Amino acid sequence: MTQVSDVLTSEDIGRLSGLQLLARQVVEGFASGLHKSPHKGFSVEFREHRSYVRGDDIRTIDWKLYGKTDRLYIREYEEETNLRCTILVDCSGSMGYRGSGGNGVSRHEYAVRTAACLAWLMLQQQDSVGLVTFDTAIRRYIPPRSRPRHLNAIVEELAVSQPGNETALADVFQEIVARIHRRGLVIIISDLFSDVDRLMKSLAQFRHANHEVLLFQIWDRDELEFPFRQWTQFQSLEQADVRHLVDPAQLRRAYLAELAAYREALTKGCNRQRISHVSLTTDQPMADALAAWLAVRRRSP
Amino acid sequence: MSFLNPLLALGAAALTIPLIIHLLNRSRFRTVDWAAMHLLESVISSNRRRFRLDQLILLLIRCAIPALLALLMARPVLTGSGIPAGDTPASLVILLDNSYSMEVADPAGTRFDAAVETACSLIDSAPAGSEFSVLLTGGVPTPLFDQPVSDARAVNRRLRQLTAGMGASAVTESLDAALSLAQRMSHGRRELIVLSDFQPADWQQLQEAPGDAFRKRLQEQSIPVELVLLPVVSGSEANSALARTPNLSLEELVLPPHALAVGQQFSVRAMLRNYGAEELPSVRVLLKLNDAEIAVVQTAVQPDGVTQVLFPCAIATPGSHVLSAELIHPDALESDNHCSAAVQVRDSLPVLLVDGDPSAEPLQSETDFLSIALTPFTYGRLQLSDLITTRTIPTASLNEDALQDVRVVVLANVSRLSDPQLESVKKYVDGGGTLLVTAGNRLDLNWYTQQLYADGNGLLPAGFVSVQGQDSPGTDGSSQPQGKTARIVSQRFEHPSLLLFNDPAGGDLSAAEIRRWYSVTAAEQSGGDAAAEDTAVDTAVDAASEQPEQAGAAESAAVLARLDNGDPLLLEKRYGDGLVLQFTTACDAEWSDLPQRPVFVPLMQQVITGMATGVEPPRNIAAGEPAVAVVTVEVAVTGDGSEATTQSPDGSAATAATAALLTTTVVTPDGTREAVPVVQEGSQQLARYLQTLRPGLYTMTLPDGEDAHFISGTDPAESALRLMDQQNCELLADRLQATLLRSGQEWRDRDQLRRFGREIWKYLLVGLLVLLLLELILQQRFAGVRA
Repeated sequence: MTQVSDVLTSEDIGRLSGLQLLARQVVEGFASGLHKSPHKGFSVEFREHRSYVRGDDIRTIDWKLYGKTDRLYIREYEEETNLRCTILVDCSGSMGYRGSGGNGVSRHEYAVRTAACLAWLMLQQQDSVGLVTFDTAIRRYIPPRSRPRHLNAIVEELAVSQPGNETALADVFQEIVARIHRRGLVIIISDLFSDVDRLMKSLAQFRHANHEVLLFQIWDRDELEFPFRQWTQFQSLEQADVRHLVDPAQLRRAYLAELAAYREALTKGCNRQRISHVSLTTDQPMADALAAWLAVRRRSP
Repeated sequence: MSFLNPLLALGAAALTIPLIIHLLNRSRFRTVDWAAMHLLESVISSNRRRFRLDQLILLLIRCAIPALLALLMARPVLTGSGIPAGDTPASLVILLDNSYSMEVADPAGTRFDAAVETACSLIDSAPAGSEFSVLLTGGVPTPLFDQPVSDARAVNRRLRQLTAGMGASAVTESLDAALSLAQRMSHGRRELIVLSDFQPADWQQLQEAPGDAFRKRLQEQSIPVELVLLPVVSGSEANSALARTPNLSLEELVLPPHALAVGQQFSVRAMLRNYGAEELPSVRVLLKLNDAEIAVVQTAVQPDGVTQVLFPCAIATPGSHVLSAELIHPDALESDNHCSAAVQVRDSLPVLLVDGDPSAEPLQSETDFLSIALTPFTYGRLQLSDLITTRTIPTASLNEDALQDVRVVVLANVSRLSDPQLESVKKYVDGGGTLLVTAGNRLDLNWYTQQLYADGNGLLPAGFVSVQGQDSPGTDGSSQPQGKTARIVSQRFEHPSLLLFNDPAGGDLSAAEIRRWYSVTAAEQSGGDAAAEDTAVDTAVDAASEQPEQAGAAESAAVLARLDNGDPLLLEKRYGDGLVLQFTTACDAEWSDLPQRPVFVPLMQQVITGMATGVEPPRNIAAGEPAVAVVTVEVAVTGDGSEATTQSPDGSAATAATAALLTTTVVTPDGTREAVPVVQEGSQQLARYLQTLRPGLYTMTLPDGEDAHFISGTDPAESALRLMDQQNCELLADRLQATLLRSGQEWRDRDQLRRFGREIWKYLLVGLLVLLLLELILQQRFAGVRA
């Protein structure tokens, strides 16, 4: 049976353990606002007393304390949230890119680890986590569960997944929207190498279904900096017959310009759809990346 | 375009290196499995053509860089002017003006010193291996070396030994000679460098047609020849080139044209010209005879004026004398302050009159009038001496002995000569004698036509044809003669003997009435006027030296004087070394009243003395003309002192050998003494001295111990000392398509510029750096790398 440790290094787990303590409060903080629980008053865990102010529900007044102190206090409880999160991991061919420099981690591996981290983090928080792996179509759908052992199922699926085939994000997302009935958080881990307009349209469908969408775009450093010098034949990872022999030095500027335009279009689209978009590179420590994301998440409204 | 390091130009092949690198790069690519293909594809598809273009541009620049570098290292030299440049040796012809105007001195030295210094510096700075010819332009263009010389030091050594003071520059001839010299030189770059003071008197003519002609010649050269004009002025003149240098010049010493007898009074005219702007109130002029002062005259000379000074003069001893005038006036140019003339003074001119119609009656004999006319003083029983001595003999007495030591023979109305007589006369004339044939009623026309004229091959200039004019008054007894008379045409005479009659004071020839005369066969082939013959007389020796052409020259008979009906009166013809004159009327009073007129005396005096001296080589020559003396020593003592050889025309081999042993000595104006061999030319022995370029006195000591003086004269125009101003110099340079330079330094700079400065490696280097920079910028720009 696949263990979490198969995907996550001990270092990652250690970090995440510490991170979980930090993250928990944060996640709870915003989650409580974002995901209003339909089960009111179900909270049990006492948090603190505070003075009654006019307008507070009188049912929350701690009468015992009133008896002792002759003052009105309100008893506050820590509210348990129940987040349903689906992690979408892109397993298309372009995710198999393994950069020339850095730590030799392919984008897929990085995506898998990120997904595992997130899953583990959420399950630690008793949120329910589901997983979808896809390329041109959905490969595997694991519905959200909150049981801790559910992590094993997710990790196992992540570990066996291999990049391949072409990408058809828009079509797949439409299909996924249909599968996820209850609204929740949708985390997409992909390179998002696709037509931006179509992509944004399909992402909009998540939003229409009242899903919160979080995009993790995984970059390789090569793609951002295009560090090639000598003549290079670029061969497509997805379509075997597409290859171009070029002098990268010449291309670089135009490529970077194109890249910047693409990223800007993506960022604009995400902002318009209120989709959180986080770019990660494969040489970034993913725990740092998560932490950075969490920081971003906390700042966001 | 040529290269100084042509081998390095092969390095241009290095341009293939970037090409090879480019192709290698393209073939040794690496393959990358790429994910973000949608980004890359759009970039490639939209920029494919631009990338190609960028690549091409970069490739071209990269190829150009090594090529340019190779070109740069090969040191290319632009040769736009068509003259091979660089250190290629040159053929330089230096035209060095050594005329007397170059002797103008100032404290810094003479113009000639400056010219020599400039020439030496040019030669020193010429490229190694260059060859030089030096042409001295004074007087007659004279090459300094027979062959072009490559040894610059030897040339300089010779140059520094030279002195100026030769005759006026013969500019046109010098340029032509220099061009011919340049044609014989070997190097491809040819240059004529004129070092002169550029006196307008010499150079002005080149601003007209001769200049155009020379330019045309220059342009027609298959190998281009460059002409450089380098005016040379001495230090202080450079600052005031336009200012006039005052100079007083003694231009000419004019002697009477006729032969001079011992003790004969004559006047010498000295022409003074003042080139300064100030009047010179008292200038002393000395006249010297053979270095002994005989007269002093003090005169005033107007600014820009000419003054004549007359010296009465008589010479007491026969032989060759030198009359020289000298100005006592210090000025810039010393050499034109004196002027000389050689005078040949004779004690007698023996004339043999052969009377064909002798008579015992006074004045009835054919030669009576002639004899009186030739020796007027003797007949007048005056104390004055006659130059001419006459001896009258009848025809029968004419033989070889009678012709000994006679300068002129007159055949007066001689009917005919016997064959031995004719032979001896022919031999006499051929050997340098002169003959005057006069007509008359006794002529045997057949004999004259067949023997003496012989269709132009005989002695006579023209054959007698028939008697013209009035019938003889005695034949029909009528008192009124029939027919027309004729008179001598009053024309301008060109012949030296008749020059006197151009002046009305000399007498009027046309007053005489010629009653009878002979018409002659057409003697017109050499032209109706005697101008052509006139020059031939001046250069008598030239003609004599050209013996092979003598047969052709014998044909040329010149008419010296005509009658008003067109018939010739006086004809002249050269025969051998001698001269024959033909008088177509009688020399007594029967056929004309000419002998009865006073003008007959000077006419006959002039004709006879002119004949006697006309065959002699001139003593006053132009600078550069040969000084020739006839050696009359007939018996020469050979080495052992015992053998004697008599000169005879048919023993020419023996006499030539003897003549070769005879030498004359020439003392030149600068004091050097040179031996001149006597050569046999035709029937004469001549001493010929050629180096008469320096104006002045040449004294030739003949083998018999006599001195013959030659005065080499030149054009006095250079005494003006004016320099051409800048504008005129430029005009001249334009006209000749020459380059006008101001100094030798300028020439050197120009030469350096041509040898090194026109190299374009500096520009190529700049170009290379620009290309390198461009390559860098373009590469950065195309690659999009930002600083």
